[in-house]
Amino acid sequence: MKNAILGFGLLGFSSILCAQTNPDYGEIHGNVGIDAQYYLDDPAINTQPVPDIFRANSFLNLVYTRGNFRAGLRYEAYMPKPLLGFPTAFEGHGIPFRYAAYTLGRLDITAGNFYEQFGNGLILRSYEERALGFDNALDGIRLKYQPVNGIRLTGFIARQRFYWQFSPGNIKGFDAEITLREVFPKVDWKNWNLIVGGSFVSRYQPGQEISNPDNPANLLELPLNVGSFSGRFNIGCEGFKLNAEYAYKINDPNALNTFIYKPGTAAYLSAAYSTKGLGISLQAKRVENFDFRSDRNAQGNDLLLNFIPMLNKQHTYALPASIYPYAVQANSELGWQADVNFTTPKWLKKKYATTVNLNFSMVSALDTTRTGDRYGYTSSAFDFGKSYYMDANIEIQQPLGKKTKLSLMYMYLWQNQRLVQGQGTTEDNLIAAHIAVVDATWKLAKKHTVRFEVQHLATPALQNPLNTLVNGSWAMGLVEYNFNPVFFASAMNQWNYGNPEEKKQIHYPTAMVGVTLKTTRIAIGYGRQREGIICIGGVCRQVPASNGLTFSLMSSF
Amino acid sequence: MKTLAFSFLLLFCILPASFIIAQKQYALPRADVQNLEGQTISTGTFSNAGKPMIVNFWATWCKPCIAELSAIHEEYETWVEETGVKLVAISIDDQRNVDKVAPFVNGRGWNYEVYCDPNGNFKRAMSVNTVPHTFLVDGQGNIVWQHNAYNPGDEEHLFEMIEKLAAGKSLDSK
Repeated sequence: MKNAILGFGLLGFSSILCAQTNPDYGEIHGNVGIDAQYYLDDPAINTQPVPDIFRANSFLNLVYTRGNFRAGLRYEAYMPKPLLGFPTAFEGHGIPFRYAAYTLGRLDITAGNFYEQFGNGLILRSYEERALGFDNALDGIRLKYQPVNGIRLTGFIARQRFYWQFSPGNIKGFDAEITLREVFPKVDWKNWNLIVGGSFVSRYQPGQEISNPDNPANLLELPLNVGSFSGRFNIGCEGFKLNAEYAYKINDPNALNTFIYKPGTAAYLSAAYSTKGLGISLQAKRVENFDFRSDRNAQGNDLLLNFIPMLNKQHTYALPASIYPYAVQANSELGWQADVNFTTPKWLKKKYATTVNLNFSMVSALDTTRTGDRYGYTSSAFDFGKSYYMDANIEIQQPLGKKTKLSLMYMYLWQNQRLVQGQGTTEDNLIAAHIAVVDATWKLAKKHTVRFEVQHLATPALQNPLNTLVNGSWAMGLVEYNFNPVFFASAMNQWNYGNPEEKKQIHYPTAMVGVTLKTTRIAIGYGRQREGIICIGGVCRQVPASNGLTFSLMSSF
Repeated sequence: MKTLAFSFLLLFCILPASFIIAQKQYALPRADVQNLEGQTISTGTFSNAGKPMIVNFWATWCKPCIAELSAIHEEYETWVEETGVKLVAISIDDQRNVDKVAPFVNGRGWNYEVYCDPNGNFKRAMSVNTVPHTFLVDGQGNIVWQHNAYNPGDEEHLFEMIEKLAAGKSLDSK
């Protein structure tokens, strides 16, 4: 700890001295954020007693650059405890992220922490999603080298961040990417662009004693090194683009696949076409036994090494995004998505063009047969098993004049909730919901705008819901006032009016006021937070119900 | 006690110090992003031949971002004609949406230079907290102004800044 403080101080103050006296000594920048909440008791929404009623999550990032040298660190503090819903293992404070890097011609060297993604992320993606308390940063040495233009090689050896500790597994990774047009510039490629790539990631983790689930008297023979490989290509020509990747992982008995020895596979395919005014894309994926982590025993969001992209629309309106969200099933998924965007053409002579987005997605489990041996099961290549999720939606944006803008959305959602939340298949909670959203912005006068949102989710109440506080239909309303570019105020209410139990027809009001001063945003709010699952960018976490005052400050400099 | 002392250190020493030392102008940092064909490009190659450049961070799932880029789209031709400005749009969509960015942009008829930053390399280098975040870069490649969040009408203020920059005036001038 002392070292951390010392390092922090030194970096901070030496750069103060340097940066102020002469710009040639380099530049320092960063960002900072504080999210705090004062918790109140609210039995109606099932709040749990909170011993530390005032909590704050804070961070400060500093980035220093001078010529080809750069260094940075992040201080994080979760005091006295992390906000409710964040992993409790974050409790404390310190500098979990620090690095120094240097670029030497075609070689780039990073020592310390770094984030990295190989290809589409199927075998490696290290990243941070601060709003979820997710950070799987790597810590080690990374080299990036470009022997000639168009060939990029990346290699690293590292361990992964695990809250304030490190993963038990050591990770090695290598990736090569070749852009043919750059390597052979003399060839006449016309408008063709072909990029090929391949990567390898391996985990070394010491053995441990785990008894064989089929024969508890015997111990499992665990692989110490687990390797995964992937190959990809990307072809583009005049608005067409095809992106494909296939990944394979050798046997990796782990907690989430119940310690079976079956190898894992993942395939991702995307085809897109677009021209001015029209864009179409189709994606498909098949994922089998592909949960890859830097610890064979890790669960939840801990120590993930790879990223399986979700193939459904990333909703942002509150009811579609948060009442019945979907979560990736890395052990068994077969799904596809179609997405169309278009704008009404000019020859229609409409004064204000209409923009339309159509999206359809469905995801199922693989069709599998249990074998009872150490490989667990066999699966059919392209047959759909039990359905997880289906979503069909349309979104229309239409300016009604210089001062009024209107967005409309309709969505049909279907979900096997118990299966998606990993709570077995015996008693299926099948959800079918119709959701409608109206979102209108009205410019009152120069600098003054008002925005309204009305949302409705219609679904029959269930006999045996997973959460009795989320059952039946919902209504939501929001009003927001902005005085540009400085001040904003908003009030919102969500209401589970369709809940069959009358005392659970609860309102969740929230109100917020804040100021934005260039790149600093300060907001104070009060409200009720519904118990549920929050998902951002494909990762979800469970948040408990809460009621209280919130304060947030975000700034970059 | 230790934690309390540390939070005071953070709030009252390091924070203000950081604000003071952060230069008003600084060079656009270098990071690897992808163009819409999936090719890796260094942000060090971004330039607009000595004219002003807008660097805008956005995402396909971010409503205010789309509102901002749509509002600028309506004025963009005039802006380019009058000031020679170029808008570089950096999508921070991750792998879930990266392949949908080109159809999204073209489906709206936007004429911007668009890049993808699926793992946040450039976003981190630019200290971006949330989107939309708009930077204004001068003809020498220095960041001279930035703003976070978007409300209808903000683009008028942005254009005033661009006009001053193009005319070689100070951004603080009236």
